[in-house]
Amino acid sequence: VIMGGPMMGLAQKDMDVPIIKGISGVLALTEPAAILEEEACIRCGRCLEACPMFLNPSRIAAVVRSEDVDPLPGLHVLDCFECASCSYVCPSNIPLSQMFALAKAGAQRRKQQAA
Amino acid sequence: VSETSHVGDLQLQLRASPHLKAPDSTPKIMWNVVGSLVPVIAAATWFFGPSALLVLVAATAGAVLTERAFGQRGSLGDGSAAITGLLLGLTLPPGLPLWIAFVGGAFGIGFGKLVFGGLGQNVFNPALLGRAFLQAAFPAALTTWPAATTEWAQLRGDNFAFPFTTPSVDAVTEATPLGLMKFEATPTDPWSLMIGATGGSLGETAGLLILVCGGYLALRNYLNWRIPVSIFLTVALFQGLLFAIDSTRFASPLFALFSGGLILGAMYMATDMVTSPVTNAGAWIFGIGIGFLVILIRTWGGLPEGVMYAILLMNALVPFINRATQPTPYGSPGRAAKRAVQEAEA
Repeated sequence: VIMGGPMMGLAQKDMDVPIIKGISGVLALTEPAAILEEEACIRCGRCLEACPMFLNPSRIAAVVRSEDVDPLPGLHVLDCFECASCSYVCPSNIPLSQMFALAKAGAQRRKQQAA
Repeated sequence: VSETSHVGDLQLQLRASPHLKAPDSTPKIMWNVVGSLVPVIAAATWFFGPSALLVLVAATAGAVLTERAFGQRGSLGDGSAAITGLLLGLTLPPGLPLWIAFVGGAFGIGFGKLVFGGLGQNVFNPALLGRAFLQAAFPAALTTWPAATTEWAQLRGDNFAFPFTTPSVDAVTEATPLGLMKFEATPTDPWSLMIGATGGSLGETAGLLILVCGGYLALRNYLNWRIPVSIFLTVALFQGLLFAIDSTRFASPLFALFSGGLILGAMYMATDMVTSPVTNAGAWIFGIGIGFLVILIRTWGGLPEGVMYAILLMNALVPFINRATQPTPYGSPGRAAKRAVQEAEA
């Protein structure tokens, strides 16, 4: 059971969640989605074509994996709004948008520590 | 990424979004490429007899066994090693001793891909690296083109030579159309180049067929059509210019397009996703660069054929092309806006 749409919606843990006015929809998917094995990035460039913000998801993901935070602002990771189009098209099932959510949270934390 | 939560007799699956997924997967793309090569392999067998199949099997065995022995577990299933072996086999002459084809496949996967960290990490096209290695190590064997025989089932050349022995059979050889053009200035009729009734490597002769098979991949978005299109356009324009200057010295653009490994290289080697640029602007630059280098090497270089080195050279430039063609994020200030900010600050 998912609150919101199929791309960005959140899977719900139990049924006692209230519907509030910001909820765009409730989805009940009956088929359990196949758990897809993650594979190596083959640099097909589909995530670049899919990104509505014209970011470079494959490059950002490589940087996030290397845990090197310095290049992230230059790659505009904070412009990502986690629409998950990149994760959707990725033929290697790389959880791109989750990695960006992580990177954004990390950036926020560093900003607070610096302040 | 997933767990299950139980509420009463409800089973709720918890996982991260997106909850839908595009149907393409990496193994599916790779096996589709293998499938699209089947007609090309059939044509090679039609023109060169059982020798063609033997060479292809040897090269593929070399690639697949090396991936199996040294690659990550389960990496055979993605089909990329099979593609490398088949593509390498298609660039080899039909009379090649099988052990050489095997070594080429093993080298291509081992040193072309696995030392870089496996699929997705390699800089150079593994099939072409395997071929470049063979060209350097066994130049004579790699440039022996058996003549067409009337007997279809007859082996072309010395397929079963033992390693490091000199060939026991003196194969009847003939020059390839590009060799004829370069060293004797004799062009071959473009039509026979298109359908493949010429000497050459296994997979480079049936130009039209490769175009159709590659076109299928382009339609399904398994290759970036901008790369072959820009290669063909560059070759046609550049060679057309040379042909217009002196039509006795330089080959016609049609000959340039359909001779040698250009079509196979442009459709299958240059479009390897791993070793080509990720951006579409980069794909145009990449293709144009390959087209120029092919004509430069063919016309003024020491070799009759330049597709292999042209693609390998451009492979090396891909990281720089990627860096130069990064997409501009939505909302970034354009040049005019940046200048305005600078002036306001000054």
